[in-house]
Amino acid sequence: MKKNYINLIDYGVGNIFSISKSLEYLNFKCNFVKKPSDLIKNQKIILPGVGSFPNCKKLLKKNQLDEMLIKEAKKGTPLLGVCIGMQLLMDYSLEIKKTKGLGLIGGFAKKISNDKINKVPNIGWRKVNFKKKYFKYKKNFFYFVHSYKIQLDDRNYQTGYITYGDNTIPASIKKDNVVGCQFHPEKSGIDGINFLKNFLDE
Amino acid sequence: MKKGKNFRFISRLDIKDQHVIKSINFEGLRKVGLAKDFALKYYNENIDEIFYIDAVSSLFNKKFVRNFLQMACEKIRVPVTVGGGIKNADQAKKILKSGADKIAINTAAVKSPDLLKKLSDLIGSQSVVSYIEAKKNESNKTWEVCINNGKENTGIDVMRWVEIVQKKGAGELLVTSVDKEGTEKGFENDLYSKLSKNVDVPMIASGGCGKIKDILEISKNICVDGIAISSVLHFDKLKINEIKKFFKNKNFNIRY
Repeated sequence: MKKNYINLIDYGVGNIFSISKSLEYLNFKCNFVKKPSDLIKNQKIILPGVGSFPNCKKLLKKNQLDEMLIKEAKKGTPLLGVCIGMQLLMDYSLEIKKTKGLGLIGGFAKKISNDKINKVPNIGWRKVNFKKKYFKYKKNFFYFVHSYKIQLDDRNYQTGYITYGDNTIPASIKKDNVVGCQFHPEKSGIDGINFLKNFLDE
Repeated sequence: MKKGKNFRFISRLDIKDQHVIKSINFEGLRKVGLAKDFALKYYNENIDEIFYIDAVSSLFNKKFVRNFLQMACEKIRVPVTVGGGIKNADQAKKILKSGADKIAINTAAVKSPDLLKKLSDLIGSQSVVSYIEAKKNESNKTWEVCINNGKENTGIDVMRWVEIVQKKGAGELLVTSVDKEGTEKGFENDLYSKLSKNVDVPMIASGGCGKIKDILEISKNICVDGIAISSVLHFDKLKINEIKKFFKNKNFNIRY
């Protein structure tokens, strides 16, 4: 079987080794995109993200990847943002300082409110409540690690959520060809693999 | 959504070269098998996370990272934390690039607490675990911070130290009781009760797990978010699914 390519945005943040291994396991070959000319046209794009929103945004901009992602998403290329990669799809984030995102889905990222039991960062496996028509997984437990959550202008784009203390946190979102997940599918066992497969097969 | 407490079960692998080792109170290392086999076994048995703690600080050795870490992370689709001998940001970045999600720091942070700040700015505080080895001082009933695998007592008060590491940006604490480590006689419950006043980030308890009732006892502490266990799993005294089933029935939010 000829391997399909997937564009994996590689802008120098975090652990892309694990997500690339998950994609290879699903018989996709990773095309690491460091600059716009690396992109393979008409292939899906995954935007990972770890660390702080302003730093991720700065690095995307530095390599002119932000403009490319906006252009591709508007053209209809399927795009999946993971963790901060999902938050980057929003209009802006309030992490450290107000920073503009890619503006592909209306909304913003703000700090999770914490208490003595539900601490910040929110680290660990959480049960995701998915809209039935979207996903059906074995356990529905996914691995989260984040201090900021998104707030959507239009809740209809939310496809899954978790509750954490007083917070309702969007776990997965979808607006046409643009998809995002707050959890790490590459660290979420077999359900995570199936989430990625869902995006790749669609 | 039900309101039970979230709780994580982490397998702690103390490693030397390619082997998992086990000690009691950090003394007398004994090889129990290959690290990659253990990690894969626990992954298949539904463990929530894996902590590799390198007893001989070989982590910044290039060959180690390439031969061991990448292989160890490739098939494991749960979070991996790596600690032991990490001294600077470059080493931390390399370890994350090889598939780890978090790094754990003890000795280097004690020597220079600003390293935690530097790392959390660089890789995000969610990836920085402050690894703390706590030893009880029987004369004044406090706990003191040890470094170099429990060998060296710094005399720093653990209660004060946790405040510093949180201020410097540690996103999680792994607190091991040197006195209970490897004994299978129960967790150092008093230590974690006392810590709960000072800790606002997720805290993992380790050292002393022998029976399910030990886990039940420590899980009652609202400030403990999970446990890191080793010998009871290595020597087949407890099974991961057996522990998880027990806690699931106790209405905990756990991945089962």
